[in-house]
Amino acid sequence: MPRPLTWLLLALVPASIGMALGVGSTPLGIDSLWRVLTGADTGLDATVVLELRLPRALSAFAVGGLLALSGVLLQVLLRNPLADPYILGVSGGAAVAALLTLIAGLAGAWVTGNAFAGALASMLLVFGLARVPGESGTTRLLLTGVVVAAGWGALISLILAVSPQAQVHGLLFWLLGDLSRPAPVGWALWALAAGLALAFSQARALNLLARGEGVAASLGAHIGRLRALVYVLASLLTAAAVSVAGTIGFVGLIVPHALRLLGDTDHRRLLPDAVLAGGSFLVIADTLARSLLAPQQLPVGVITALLGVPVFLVLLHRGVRR
Amino acid sequence: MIRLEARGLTLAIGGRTLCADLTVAFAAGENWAILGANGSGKTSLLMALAGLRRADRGEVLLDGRPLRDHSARSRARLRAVLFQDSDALFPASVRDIALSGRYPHIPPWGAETAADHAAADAALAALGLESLAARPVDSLSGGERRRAEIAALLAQDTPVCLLDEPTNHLDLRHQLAVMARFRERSTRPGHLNLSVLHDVNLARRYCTHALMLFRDGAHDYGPLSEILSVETLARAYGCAFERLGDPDQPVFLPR
Repeated sequence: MPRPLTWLLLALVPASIGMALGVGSTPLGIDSLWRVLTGADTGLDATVVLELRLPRALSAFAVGGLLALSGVLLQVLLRNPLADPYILGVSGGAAVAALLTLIAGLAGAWVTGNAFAGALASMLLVFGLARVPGESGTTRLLLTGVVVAAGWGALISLILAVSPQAQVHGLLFWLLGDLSRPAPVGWALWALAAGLALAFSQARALNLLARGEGVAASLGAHIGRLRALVYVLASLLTAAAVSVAGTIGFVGLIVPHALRLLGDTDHRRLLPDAVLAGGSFLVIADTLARSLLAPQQLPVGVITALLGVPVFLVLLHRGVRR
Repeated sequence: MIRLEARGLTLAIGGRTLCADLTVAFAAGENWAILGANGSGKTSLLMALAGLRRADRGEVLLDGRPLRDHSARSRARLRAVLFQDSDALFPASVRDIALSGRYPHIPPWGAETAADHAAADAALAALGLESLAARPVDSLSGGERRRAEIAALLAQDTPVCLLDEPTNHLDLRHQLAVMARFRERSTRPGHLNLSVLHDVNLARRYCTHALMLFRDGAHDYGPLSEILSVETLARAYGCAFERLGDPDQPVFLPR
C-alpha cells in the first residue's frame, strides 16, 4: 500500500532542517546553503551553518523524535491517551537534578549528565514502587508515576522559590525547554536510532497491546516482559531528550495522536512516522523560537504548544466529523 | 482425542470458591457450553483453561501437556480466546483487527504473508464484514465490533476455541450464524469449542455437551441432554423453569 503520509514526512525532514539552516541573523538562501554544505564556501556563512545552526537543528530533531517515540510507547503501555513522556516523573527527576546542578554553578556536560542520572533514579524509583508480583499493574504504575511526578514538581517549585533572583530566569528557561546550550548531538541521534530499532522490533506486539492486555496475552505476547521493556525504553528515551534540552512540552503528547488521527494505527508505521514528525516539528518550532523575536530567544516549549494546539484541534475536529 | 483437560482444578476469588476440584476432559468433535449464574465463575474457568489465569489448585493440560510446558506462542497456535468485552485503546481498522489474529503464526521478525492476508480476508467474509474492512472499529456498532473480534479468532485458526459469551451484542440472525459457524468448526478433525453462554436455548440448539457451575463451587457436566433439565437449571439460576415443545428439541423458559 502506498504511504503518502510517510513520504510527506520524509520530505519534511530535509525541508525543516533546511529552514533551520537558512533562517537566522544572517539569512541564507538555498544556493548559499548548498555551497556551504558541499564545501564550496568555507567562510563565515559556513561557520554559522556548520557550527551553530546544524548541530542545533540536529539536536532539535533528535529530541523531537525521542519525545514523540516515548509518547507513543507510554500511551500504549499506560492505556491512556493523556500519557506523555513526562507523566511518570522521569522528567521531574531530571529537572530537580539539573536545577541543583545549575544552582551549584556548573554548566554544560554536568547539567546533561546529572539530568540523565536524575531521570534514571526516578525511573528506578517508580518501577520499584509500582511492582507487585502477579498483578497487571497498569493503573498502579500510572498512579505511582503521577504521584512521584507531583513530588518532583513540589521540589522544583521549592528550588525556584529559594533560588537567588538572578538565577531564576536560567532555571525557568531550562524547565521550558532550551536547545541553545551545546548538546551531545551525535549521542542523542544514536539514542534515537537505537530506541526506534528496539521499539520497532516490538511493533506487532504493541498492536496487540493496544487491543487489550488479555487479547495480547492470548495471542502469545509476553506481556510482563513487553511491559517492562516498553517502560524502560520509554523512560530512557525521555531521559535522553530531557537531559539534552530540558522539558519541552507537547511534542510527545500531540505528535502520536495527530498521526493516529491521520490513520497510523499500525505501530510498524506509527513508530517511524512519529520519529520523523516529532523531529521535524521540533526543528521548525526551535527555528521559530530563535527567530521570531530575534535577537531574543523564546522558550521552544512555548512555540511547540502554540503551534501544536491549533493543528491538533483541527485534526481532532476533522476526526470527529468523519 | 482429548485436547483439553482439567485435573483437580480449583479456582477461588476473594475467599469464595468458584469451582472446586474440577476434573473433566474435553475431546475433539465436542462443542461445549459453560452455563451458570452471574458470578458463578464461568469466565474465570474459561481463563484458567486458556492459561490466562492461575489455578489455585490443580492443573490444565492442553494436548496432554501442562499449559505451563507450552510456550505462549505454541499455546496461541492451539487455542484462541474470545473475550467478553473488548477494551481496545486506539481504533484500528477492522482488517487490522482480523489480521492481528495471525500473530502467533508469524515468526518474531517476520511480516504477514499472502497466506495471512488470505486468512484474514476469509474470516472477514465469513462474518459479512468485507465492506467494513477499511473502517476504524470505533465507527462501528457494538455488534459489528463483536464480529470483527470473532473474525480475528477465525483468522487465528486454532483447533481449540474458548469463547466468552460469543453472542454478546449480536442480533438474532448473527447469533445463529456465529453459533452455526462454531458448531461447524467443532466437527472438523481435532477441533473443539467451549463457549460461555447465557442463552440456555442457544446452548441446547448448538452444543453437544454442557458444564454447569453452581454458586457454591459445585459443578455438573456431560452430554447436553443429560445435563439440561428444569431441575439443574433451577439449581444453577435460582429460578423455576418449564420445558416446552418437542421432547427431543425442548425449549426452556424461566417461569
